[in-house]
Amino acid sequence: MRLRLRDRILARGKPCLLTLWCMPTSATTTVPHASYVVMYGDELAQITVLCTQLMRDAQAYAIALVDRNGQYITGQGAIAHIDTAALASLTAGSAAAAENLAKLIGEKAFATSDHHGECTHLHISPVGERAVVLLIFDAGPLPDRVRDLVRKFNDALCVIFATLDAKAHDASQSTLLNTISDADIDNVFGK
Amino acid sequence: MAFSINYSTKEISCKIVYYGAGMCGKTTNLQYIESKTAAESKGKLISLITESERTLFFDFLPLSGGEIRGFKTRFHLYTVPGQVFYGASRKLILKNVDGVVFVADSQVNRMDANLESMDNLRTNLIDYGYDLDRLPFVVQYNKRDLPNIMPVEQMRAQLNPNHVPDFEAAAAKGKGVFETLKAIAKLVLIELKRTG
Repeated sequence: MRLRLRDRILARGKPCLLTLWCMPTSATTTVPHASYVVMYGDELAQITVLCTQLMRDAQAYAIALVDRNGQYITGQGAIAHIDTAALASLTAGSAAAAENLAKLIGEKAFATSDHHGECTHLHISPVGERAVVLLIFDAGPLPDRVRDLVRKFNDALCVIFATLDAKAHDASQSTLLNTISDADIDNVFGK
Repeated sequence: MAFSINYSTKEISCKIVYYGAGMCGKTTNLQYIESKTAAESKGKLISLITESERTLFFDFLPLSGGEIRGFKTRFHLYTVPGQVFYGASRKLILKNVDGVVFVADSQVNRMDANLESMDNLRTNLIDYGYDLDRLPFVVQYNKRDLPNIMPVEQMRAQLNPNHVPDFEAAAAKGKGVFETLKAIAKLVLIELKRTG
């Protein structure tokens, strides 16, 4: 079958004027979203419940939720046996690389990415603009089912993040930052 | 900025990126920090490297600092790949950075590469809506132990016209490594306090 011009150019793997023309404008200019993440106990508990549900319904044996900057938020299941700092950094890096790959070929984003090993499989999905969820399976995941479950998870999570945003913008919640002294800062790494 | 405050786990986390031209010593900085930090204060150093041991995507080292008002401080240290052709992944690592260390190679013949990398840093930050002059930023003049190096004053004039904190270093021997880290960590925390 004869490939379309755009497909043939993309198949060569070289970015060109045509692919740039096909890209959404957001591919060349990235606007920062939330300035920073503030997490509170109530919301973390709610997120943890959502994670537990998703892990159970998707029949995964572990789940991790990380923010897009590579910070670990929470996890459930066998996650306790994994280096979560490294897991979060690599998951965010993988999601960011996939997102930029998508933009290079004129896609807005890739909804998911899956990695299949001999015994263990990973499913990575961006959720909202803030986070990435990683599910770990010991049997092949059911892609359609997992996608549906992650979509519902995403909707519920966005509500919680909206609450967190509202709290973070409330001046009364910034007490910690306001009370940090110069001496506190000096003591972090010793004088 | 990427910093996060977790009131549940009582943690403040920040992202610091070591930037600079290829082979200037960014990874060496992290390796030295990792080697001299107590096990309970560090995580595993992750390096995504090529077969020739050049950084392909990033190095990552999570570090714990002392406590602030009962909150543990966590610093996530990243390096970028220095080689010119890894521009896309270099830019990716800079996203939502809280503080930048620019590692300059002091050898005379690497000055052009330093200047190109500094220019690239500014451009990439602008694309993310950041201004390097408003970001916690320090400069490290690395490889001061090698022959044929440029005088620091000359490097400072070209790479640090705004007189941000700067340090002479020989990262392979550990000289200047922790001084640089402490300086950027402090600037990041001061900025965090300011934004609060």
